[in-house]
Amino acid sequence: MKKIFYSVIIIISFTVFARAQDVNSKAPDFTAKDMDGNTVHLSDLKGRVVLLDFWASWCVPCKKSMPHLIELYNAFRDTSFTIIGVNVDTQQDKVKEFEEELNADIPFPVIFDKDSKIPPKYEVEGMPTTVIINKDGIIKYKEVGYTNELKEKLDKTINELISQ
Amino acid sequence: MTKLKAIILIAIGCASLILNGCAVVQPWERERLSDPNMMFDENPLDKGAQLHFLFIREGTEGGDGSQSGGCGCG
Amino acid sequence: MDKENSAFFLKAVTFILLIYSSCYSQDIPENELDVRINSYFDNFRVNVIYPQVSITKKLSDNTSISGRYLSDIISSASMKANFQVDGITSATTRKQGGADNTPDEWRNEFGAGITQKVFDGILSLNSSYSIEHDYSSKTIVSALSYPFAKKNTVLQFSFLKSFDKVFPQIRTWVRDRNTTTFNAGLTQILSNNIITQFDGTYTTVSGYQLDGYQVVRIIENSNTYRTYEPVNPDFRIRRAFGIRTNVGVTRDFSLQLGYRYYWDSWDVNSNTISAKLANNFSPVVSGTFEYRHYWQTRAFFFKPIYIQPEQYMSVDSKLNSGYSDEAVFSLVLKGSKIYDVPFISSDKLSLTGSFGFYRRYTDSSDWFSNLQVLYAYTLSAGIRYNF
Repeated sequence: MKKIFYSVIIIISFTVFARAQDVNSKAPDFTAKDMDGNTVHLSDLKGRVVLLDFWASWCVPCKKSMPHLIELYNAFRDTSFTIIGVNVDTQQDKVKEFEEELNADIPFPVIFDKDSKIPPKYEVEGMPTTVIINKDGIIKYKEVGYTNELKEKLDKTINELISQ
Repeated sequence: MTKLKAIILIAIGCASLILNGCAVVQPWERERLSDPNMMFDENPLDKGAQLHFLFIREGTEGGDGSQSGGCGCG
Repeated sequence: MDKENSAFFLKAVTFILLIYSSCYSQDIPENELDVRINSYFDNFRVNVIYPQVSITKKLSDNTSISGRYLSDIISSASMKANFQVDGITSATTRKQGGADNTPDEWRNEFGAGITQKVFDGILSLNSSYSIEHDYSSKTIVSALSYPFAKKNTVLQFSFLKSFDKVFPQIRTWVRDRNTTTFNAGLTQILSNNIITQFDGTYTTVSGYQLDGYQVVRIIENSNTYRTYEPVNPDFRIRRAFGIRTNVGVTRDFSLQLGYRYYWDSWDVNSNTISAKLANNFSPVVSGTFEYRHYWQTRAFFFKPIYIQPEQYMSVDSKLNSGYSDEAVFSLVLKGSKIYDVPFISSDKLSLTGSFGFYRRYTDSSDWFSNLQVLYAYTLSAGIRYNF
């Protein structure tokens, strides 16, 4: 009986852990155009700390996290840090509407990933998903959702990675 | 009893695998589901008010569901 | 299932839930103030106005609390024949009813609750206390919802316990009514525009379950009748199972279909079918139209006329066979900066309003109104503010 129990547990654990853990793994590369028409090639950003933000206009927690990301981008503007937004809306004008609701323009590049080619590479499990990649192209931080402590956590992680 | 335990474990194991495989819709595909008109009982107070007078007039209750929606938000 | 297997089953399920808990989390309610006024008017001369206020406050990322107040003004619970009843409002005069001379038709309900994230699920505990001059109720509800498979599947469980006391003004007794309810539900996303929910409820009710003001009249001859108190079985088991599906037909229009089957130990069986159309007319205006049809069988002891006293007797039209139809229109106006008007230019605000029409037909006349058909109108208006 115990053997059957532990065998089932191992099978179940495998199915869970196989899909969930990718911190400390190499960040999947991608190439896409941002909303200004500029080509963004992730591997060109090696040597910089990159925050990838997966978001959508229909996502309520994204409306809360975006002002914090704008603050972070402006605070670390003159360092080796940058943010790339990956928007998964199906209509581009939704991004403009989102900016109008926020009463702020998003200052960092935003990729309009209408066909959602990038999220599966990063195994996005919810919106928003925040991924931080270090200067060597390794994922060092991944968080789903928004919390009140998000800004402090991101601040701390970015400072640590910039100084490495 | 041992056979029953084995059946329970296998059923739970299968359910776990099925639930894991039931990730039919990815979080970034939930734009339509996130709309308030796709939620069940978007306003629970309205629903409560309706059930209040229906119970007084019909005397049956239950099986009415709960507030739920399909947003893929974290 | 014996104790040993039950314990094993519980441990196994708990372990599975913990394993899955690391990945997908639910959201707890946000800060919100909701104020609404609901009203009900029917041709049985029952008018009810029930304002309610509800407030939810997030204490942290994992905890929120809520409070609620509801008032039934002129509740239908005590409009009964043995008082002199005002023809329009059905309220009793100040000289009758209630030990302190206030009308019996004002019910106050207070509720409070707490919601807590537990691993990636949500556990909530709510309680409510309702009081009027002839009825009191204390209720506690505990609910757990847990997501699986990237929130494509959500399981919900709840447990309710209610302790009521019935003490009609025209009777010398006080009777208890206790209710225990178990509910389980599953919400499943089937595609990127279809979501389905299954829900099952099992309820046991013990104690006094009829209306304390109703009387059974047994006609003795052409000139006289005797009145008796209704008598019901002390125990009732209620069961219900429902399914509903929401389909996003176009970008702005959705169709929700539902069916519920109910059956109980008093032989009341009912079927409910419903359809709800919802449309976003613009980014700030949305509306719904809902239609519901219901039909039920009568309780085994219910008779339109009793010719002699029986072990169980009731005149409550809720236990009679019949059917009903309901149609409800509602509109939601969301606040937006596009309105250059103070207050509604806030996107944290939404205004709601609804109008409903209800018609119920019973296979024999109601004991009090002598009518087989009841018509009712419902009106409600509300404000919801996220702060």
